[in-house]
Formats: sequence, C-alpha cells, structure tokens
Amino acid sequence: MSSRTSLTLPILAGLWILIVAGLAILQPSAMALSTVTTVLQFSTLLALVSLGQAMVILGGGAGIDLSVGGTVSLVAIIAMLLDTAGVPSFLLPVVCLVAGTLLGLVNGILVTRLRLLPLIATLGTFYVYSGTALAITGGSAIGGAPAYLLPWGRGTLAGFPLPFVTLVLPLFVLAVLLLRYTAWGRWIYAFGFNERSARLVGIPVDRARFIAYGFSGLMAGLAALVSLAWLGSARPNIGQNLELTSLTAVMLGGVAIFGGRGGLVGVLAAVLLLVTLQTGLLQLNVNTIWQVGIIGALLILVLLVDNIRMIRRTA
Amino acid sequence: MLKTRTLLLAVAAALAASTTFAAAQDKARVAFVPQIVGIPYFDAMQQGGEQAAKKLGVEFVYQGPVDTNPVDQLQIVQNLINQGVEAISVSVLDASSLAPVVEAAKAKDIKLFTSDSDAPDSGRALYVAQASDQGLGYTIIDEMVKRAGEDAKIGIVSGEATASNLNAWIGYMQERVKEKYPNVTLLDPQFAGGSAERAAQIAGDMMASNPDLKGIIAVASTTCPGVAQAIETAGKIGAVVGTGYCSPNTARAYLKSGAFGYSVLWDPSELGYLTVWAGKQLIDGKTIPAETTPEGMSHPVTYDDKTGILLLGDPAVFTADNVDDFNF
Repeated sequence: MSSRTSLTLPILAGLWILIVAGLAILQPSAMALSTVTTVLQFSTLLALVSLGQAMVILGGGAGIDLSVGGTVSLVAIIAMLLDTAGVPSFLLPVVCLVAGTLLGLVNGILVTRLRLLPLIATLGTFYVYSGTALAITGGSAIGGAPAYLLPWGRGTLAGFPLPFVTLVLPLFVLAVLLLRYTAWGRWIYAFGFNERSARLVGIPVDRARFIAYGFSGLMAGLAALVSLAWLGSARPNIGQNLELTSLTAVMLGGVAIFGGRGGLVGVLAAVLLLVTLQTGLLQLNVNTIWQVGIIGALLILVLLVDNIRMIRRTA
Repeated sequence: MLKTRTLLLAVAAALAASTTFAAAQDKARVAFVPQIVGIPYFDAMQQGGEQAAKKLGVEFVYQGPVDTNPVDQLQIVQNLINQGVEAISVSVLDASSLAPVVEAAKAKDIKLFTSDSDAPDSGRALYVAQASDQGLGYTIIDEMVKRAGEDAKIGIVSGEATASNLNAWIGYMQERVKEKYPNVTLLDPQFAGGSAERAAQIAGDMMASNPDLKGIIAVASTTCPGVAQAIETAGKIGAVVGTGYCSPNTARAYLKSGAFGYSVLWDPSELGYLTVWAGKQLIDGKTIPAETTPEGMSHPVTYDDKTGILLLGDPAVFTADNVDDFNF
C-alpha cells in the first residue's frame, strides 16, 4: 500500500506544479500572496470533510459517507439556532462538535447495527439532514454568529488562513499518526483490505467502523464551525456538493474505493490540487461549466495512469 | 527527484519572467457574477452587459457558478477581487454571502455592488434593481385576481428556498393579498430548486390536492415550464390560470396554448446594460442623479441615494397578444 501512495503524490505534485506554472505564464498577476490565501481558505471546508470521508472509505465494507454535505448544513443551523435561543456563545464550538459526531454516529448505527448498505444509508441521511436544514430555516440564512469567532474564521497568519493553520494541518497530522500508530488505525486498514480475515482474527470490525462514521460526522461538524466563523452566518445549503467533491478528492488522493489502501497525505494534496485548479481557471476567466468537465477529466486521467501502472506490474 | 527539481526551476524561471511583463490593463473592467450560468435569463443579462461594455468603452467579465451554491459564488467573487477587477457586480444567492469579501474589496479600492438580487446590509456600493420587489409582487397578484377572481385559491411554486429575491417577491404577494384581497387564499410556497421537472411534479400535486385551485404562480424562471406543462397535462387549461416571472421566449408557447394567462418580467438584457453602466459610473467616481437616461438606453431610470437602489423601471406584463413584440 505504501508503493501506491508514493506514486499518487508525485503525480499530484507534478500536476500542481504544471497548473501553477501555466497560471504564472498566462496570468502573472495571479502570482500573489492573496491567491495562496484564497486557495487555502476555500480548501478548508473540503479538506476537513474529505478527511472524514477518507476514513470511512479506507474502512472498506463498501464504506462511503454521502451525508457529509447535509451534516455540515444541519450542524451549522443547529448551532446557530441554539445560539440565538440563548445557549452561551462560548459553547458554540462544542455544540458543533457534538452535533456533528452524533449525526455521524447515526450513519454508523444504520451501517453496523442495521446492516444497511453505506451507499443507501448515507444517501438517506443526506436527504434527511439537508432537507431538515432547509425545512427549519425556510431556506434563509441565520445571521449573527458570535463576534469572537470571526477574527479566527477570517484571520490570516502570514497569508495563511487561521482555520487552515490551526485546524486542517494539525488534524491531518494527527489522523496520519492515528492510522499509523494506534490499533484502531491499523484495524481500519486491516478490515478495509480484507474484512473476513480481520473478523477471523478477532478485530472488532463493527465498533471500529462505527467510530469511523462518527469521526466523519465530527469532521463535518468542524467544517460547519469554520463556515460559521468565516461567513458569520449559518446557511441551510452551505454543505451543498461537498459529498461529491470530497469523494473526488479522496479518489484523486489515491484511496481505493473498496477500502484498505491509500493515505491521507494524498487526500490533502488532492484537495489542494482541486482548489488550485479551480482558482487558476477562475483567474483565467475560464467558463465555470468547463471547469467541472476539466476536474472530471483530471480524475479519470489520474486513476487511469495509476491503473496502467498496476496492470503493467502484475503482467 | 531530479525531475521534480528541474520542474521547480522552470516554475521559478517562469515566475521571474512573469514579473517583467505584468499585464497592463488599458481598459477598466466591470464584472458581473450571476447566480448560475447557462440559463437564458442570465445569458440575456450577459448580452446586455457586453453591449454596454462596447458602447461605454470598458471590458466586461462574466463569470458565475454552475450550481446555485453560495460558496462557489463567493469563490468567484474572491478571485475577481484578487485579479483587481475595478468594479464587480453580483446577483447575490444569499443575502449574507458577500460579508467576508466586502472588506477585501474595500482594501483594494474595488467597487463591489449588487444587481438583480440584493444584499442590503453588506456595505455594497449600490444595487441595480430590475423593478422594485414590491412592484413585481403586487403586479402579479393584481393581474391574477383580474383573471381568476377575487375569491380565488392560488398556489406558489418557487425555485431555491434560499434565493433572497424570490423570497422578497413572495413576501409582497402575501402582503398584497392580505391588504387588498381578503377573500383570496394564497397557499404556502413550494420550492422546486432549479429543476423544471420538480416544478411540474409540485404543480401537478398541488392541483390534485386542491381541486378548487384557480391559479399557480411560478416564481423562479426555471419553474415556469414545469408549471405550464403540469397545467397542460392535467387538462386544466382555462380552469387554472398559470403565470410566472418568466421571459417572453420561455412563456410564448404557454401563453399561446392558454396554460399561462400572462407573464410578468422586465428585460434582463436591459438590466445587464444598466449594471455595466452603473459599474462605469462607480469607477469614474460620478454621482448618479435621481432620474437619468443612461447613454444607449431608451427610457429613464431612477436612483434613490438613501437606499442606494438604481431602479430599471416598472415591471412589464406579457400576454398572448403582445408576446411576439419581444425577443428575449
């Protein structure tokens, strides 16, 4: 599995350099610190959600979390509703974490206890979560996020957005360590790769998988918190499309859709690549409809290169 | 490893070279960010904007999201600010969505304003309004009552539940009914998102569950075809009056078939024209008079200095009789 990761990273890095070089030549004015800030700012939500998504997919058993976008929306709404209802503002981050984790654990129960296929279970909760967020707000945003959050959500440190520096980077480091050095992390790879043998050697597959879904919910809750601190309001559709873009990032980052193989560094690299590409195309004023197509083509291309290499190796 | 290093060197070289021929912009740029690209309404605004740009000697940048997603829209606006585009207009998807970038725009002395859909408390320079929200809400109800009667039951099918302009119109419809037509029943609005099929489904269900329904209002331009088709397929032409805020080209077939009694709108290409004109005034630092006829337009527009609203004019009502006089 490490040989796979080590090829994904150079491909992504190469593509990234290609994009930056292309942008430097075609639109020199884009080579500014503000572009770096923009890329990282718009990477933050996606990076957090993708981290959770990656954990769920790595855990195999056809694991997937389609509810992440709905979770982000619903957590943001719940947190702001409680805040306006008089719950002390300093508790808002806690509310986000708890609500996100609980919504994620619902997926965990559906998948590990009630034995629903993850695709179906999380598609269902996706509709329930995003629908509920829209229904309780009637579609409008709830303004008035606590003022103490905004300097963090909008602030930068030497051009780097604070949420990225203080949340995304530490969490990815932590998650990499978690996967590498804890029993739970090794189990994820083990049963992601071969569930039957994992069960035979006595790994508590269901419990570990249950935690993985909770972790994905927790990450979505954090993303909701960042959105509140950044935008200053809760939007019932803030998480729209995050389920598909996070899947794209995880696949692009070299995580196998059937689980058990791939790494988190690749996922972070893929997130940065995707957002850099978007930003670059926007700076060049390329029609946004083309952008969607280009990202799709990129995904197919990278997976194809990877596949060809695998076929060659086995041949 | 060696390869990576050469690539890095190439990038460094490209960076160094780039600073020497930094692009010199000779024309001021005015950007417009729609709510979504690829629909006829915003295409018409784009055309109008391009005409104005040609006439007024500015460059027009048109860039918008493929989904009605506020974060995607914010990202586009942020990138236009980074590019230093002199004036940026936005058809706001969500009233609070401009907040994080307003300061960034001010710091770069960029004129950020709204058009088509507003964010009133965001600190935007001005708002180019298609017709007053009140005028649109009241007109569609008045015309409906004329056709369906003073005791009609009327349904509403809207688009995105988060779109602030659509919600404002619905608010004025409800206000008008409450104040002027106490016997009219206005059903709660249903939201179809951006899809015509969903709108058709909702309209169909609405007619089935309310046999005494006399009229259906399609609020978003994307919901018009769905509502009209639902009335046609239910065989309710004549029994249910359809209408909506949709362009003559969208409504033409339905106005002629009778599924739609009328349609209320303004000319989006004129709105696009006025948007670019307003951007030019902001860049030039000119104050806009209370009433003026912009260069290249056929009728005067009004400007309210207090609210910062630049109004295109009264809404137009299109019927089977006059629809062929328009092409947008």
